[in-house]
Amino acid sequence: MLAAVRFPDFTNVTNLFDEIDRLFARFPAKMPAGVDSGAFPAFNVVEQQDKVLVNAELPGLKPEEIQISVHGNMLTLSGERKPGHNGDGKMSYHRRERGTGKFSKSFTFPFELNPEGVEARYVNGLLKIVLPKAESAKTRKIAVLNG
Amino acid sequence: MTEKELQVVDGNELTASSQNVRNLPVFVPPVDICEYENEVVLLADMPGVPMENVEIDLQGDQLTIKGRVNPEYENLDHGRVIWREWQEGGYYRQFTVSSHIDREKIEAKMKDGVLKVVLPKAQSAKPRKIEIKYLN
Repeated sequence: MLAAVRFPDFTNVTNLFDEIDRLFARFPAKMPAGVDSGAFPAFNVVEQQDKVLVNAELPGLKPEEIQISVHGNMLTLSGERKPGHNGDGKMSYHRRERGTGKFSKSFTFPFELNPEGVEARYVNGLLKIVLPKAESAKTRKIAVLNG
Repeated sequence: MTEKELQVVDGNELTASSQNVRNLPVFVPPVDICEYENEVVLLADMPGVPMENVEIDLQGDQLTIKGRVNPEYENLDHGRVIWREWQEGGYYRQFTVSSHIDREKIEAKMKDGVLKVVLPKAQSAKPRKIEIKYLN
């Protein structure tokens, strides 16, 4: 019986390198630490037994400029960040690193939320949201009866 | 520019030459520097920094801004972080102030996590219209 060994075709190797280059071009040059959706604002989420805490970095907004909505198991934050300085007439930028513009970001939890009890505070440019879990999503301890 | 969806600017971590006393990262805050006719305005995003934790000093030409946070996640009992896109940390950045700035009149304000430093121009640096007189 003959084992069919195919001699590699080197013309395809250059194609392979192109493929690899293309594959890696999709990755950002610098991988961020931790998870990163890239969408503004940056979220940190802490889960507690009966609620979740969401802290978002939102410097330079007014509380009334931030819209928060809770629907089912989804939290949505939206609004617009303005530059915070008047750009009229004779103004020139030496540096412009702070982002401005509209934003909208949703976060889906693996459990239902209770929209009635949601509380939000805006402190020092951080938005702190407390979202209670729905009754059905709370962990319950079940007593084992003797007998 | 305003139509573009906002993106998170990657936390630009500062690599200090000296060891940090506190076990928290230090970030370089993103800034806008705008020049107006009579002043230069600097805005820096430092979310999580209360007003009393901001330090600004001017030594020679060097303007240094520093901000400290009061970390919350450290003393968080009963909970676990399930999603993390930003880290608590301090802020540090230095700028060179040009000789046109009136050093005595620099003012700073901290509101909603944004530091605003107003650097008024010295009298001599303000644009002046020089009238040409005809001599007969």
